[in-house]
Amino acid sequence: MGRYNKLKLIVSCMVLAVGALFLMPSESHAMPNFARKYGADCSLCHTVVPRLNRFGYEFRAAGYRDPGEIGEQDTEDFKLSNYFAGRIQEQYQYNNHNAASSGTDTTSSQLTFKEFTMYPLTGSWGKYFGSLSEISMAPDESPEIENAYFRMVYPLGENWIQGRVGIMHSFEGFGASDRPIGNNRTLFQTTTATGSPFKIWSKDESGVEVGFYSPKMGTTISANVWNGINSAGDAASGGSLTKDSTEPAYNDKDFQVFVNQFITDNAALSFYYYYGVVPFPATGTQTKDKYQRFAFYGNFYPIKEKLNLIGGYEFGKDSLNNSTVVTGGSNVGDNNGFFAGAEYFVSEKNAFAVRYDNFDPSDEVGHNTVNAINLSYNISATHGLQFITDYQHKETDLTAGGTNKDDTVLARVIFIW
Amino acid sequence: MLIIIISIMVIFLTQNASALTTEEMINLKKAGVSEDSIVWMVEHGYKDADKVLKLKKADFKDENIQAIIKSEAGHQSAKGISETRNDSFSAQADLKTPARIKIIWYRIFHDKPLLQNKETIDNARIAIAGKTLQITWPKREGMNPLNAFQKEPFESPFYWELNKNDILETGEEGYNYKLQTDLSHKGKPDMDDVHYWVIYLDPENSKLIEHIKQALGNK
Repeated sequence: MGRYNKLKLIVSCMVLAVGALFLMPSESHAMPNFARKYGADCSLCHTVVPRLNRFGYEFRAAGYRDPGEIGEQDTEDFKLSNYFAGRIQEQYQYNNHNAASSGTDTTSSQLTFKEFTMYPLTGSWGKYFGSLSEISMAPDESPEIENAYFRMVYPLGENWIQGRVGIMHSFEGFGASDRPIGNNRTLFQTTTATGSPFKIWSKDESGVEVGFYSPKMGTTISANVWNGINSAGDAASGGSLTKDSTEPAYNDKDFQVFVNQFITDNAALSFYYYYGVVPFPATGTQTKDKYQRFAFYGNFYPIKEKLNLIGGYEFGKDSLNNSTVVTGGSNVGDNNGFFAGAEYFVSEKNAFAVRYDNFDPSDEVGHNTVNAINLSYNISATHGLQFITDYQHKETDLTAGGTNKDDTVLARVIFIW
Repeated sequence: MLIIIISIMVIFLTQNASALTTEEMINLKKAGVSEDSIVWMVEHGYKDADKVLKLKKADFKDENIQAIIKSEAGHQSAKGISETRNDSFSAQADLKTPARIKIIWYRIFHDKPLLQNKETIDNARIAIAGKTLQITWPKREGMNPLNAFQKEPFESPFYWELNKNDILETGEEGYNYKLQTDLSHKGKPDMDDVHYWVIYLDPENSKLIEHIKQALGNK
């Protein structure tokens, strides 16, 4: 992709996004069922959607209720609209791939429907309960259950304990460990290391969680037991997504700990630990690969409510970093990655973000690092309408030599109601 | 599934199609229909602007036009109770004035104010009777598909029972005045331990501020 074309592409996307800013009224709702129930603006829970503020973080941790309402009977009449939301996402993706081996460029320009998502049975129930269901459907694909869990919260003085059962996202973060301003998560969350096909994010596993939250101290601790993933890297969450009973690790369980500590109302440090067992390699003679992943996140605002700095570091270790154990094991080693970025909040409804990502899938393999720079613009428009545009330049080093380069623009329009 | 979604959208769109458009309101005003009648039509969802224009052209008096449209709108409908209160409040008001306002509802979270919701209304009308403020505004107009999905944060009429500890001070954000509930505030708007209310206001008739000060005990 020529430098001129790349610049033209970035400028075009930014002009479109800024144009949207001036065309759209300045109201929006994030999970509109909660906004409806509480008569609230989206800013009650979010900085720029989907990023949560501290109230939104506590609201979620309290089972989708105002934390002060834990233990109080909900006296309002049941309204379906308070427990149901739907989301539609359409996207335009442009990609230019420069292959190091041939030096040629291949381009892709696609306007596609990403998914339709329903959130039935989502809200608080009774004095102590809550639930979230998130079912996504892409064209001609089976519905995917991203979240379907039941939560119980119980007050302990000013604090509360909570438990969840079902299918759920990996963890509930804040700041740098929360969802990004743009469409793309950092590489170390979404890229597999050499070895286990596990990814820190995008595997919605089935499991059980127990947790504790202290609003006064700003401390969250949660621990999970997961059913784990199969050799293909899919979460063995049930239905057709199962582990093969003939493979090793069929009955093994995975474990996770997540800790979040607020430093101020808008800054936090997070720690993530995962221990899993998976058959390796995916085919042929298999053995168990016991792997661990550690991640640290942090954010802070040097300029109040305007500039947020984010960063994260990940380290991973697989038991099969020994070439004598199994075929393919020679490439397995320790993996690590990091990201650093800045987010500028123009207003409570729109923000720019820039982030640098790095990930080394195995230290046993030379010249295989992935680097990416991401530019994002996110604007919430009226009535749950949102535009998120990313430009990413990614360079993937090849063990054979050379570097593949990808330039991608992903512009997504999201309507949630 | 898509058919169901589209059906729901159509239902909401058609529900929102009852209000007068800006152009119709301007035409009514140009024809000499009183502003009170126009506001009444907007507040009560009466949309037959053509009929009112014809009645005005035929020299019907304003009070008779109001009687006709109220009768047609079904004065004893489900809205009857609030309409009656609205009308009687308007009749006994000490002062009525158009105003530009912003209503903000705050939640106190970790000892700091957090926005629960807000609404900016440039064409509100404020009436004061004794210690009660009544703020009314027209429903959102037109068949704008984006309006169809918008839940109005607050309902018109909005009542504020002035308490002696409520705070009236110089405004911010481009408004001349700011009225805020004290945490001990009783009555409308409803209070609890964690919420409070603020209204920024720019009334066309500044005598409203004198009335509010009197109601607050000349603060």
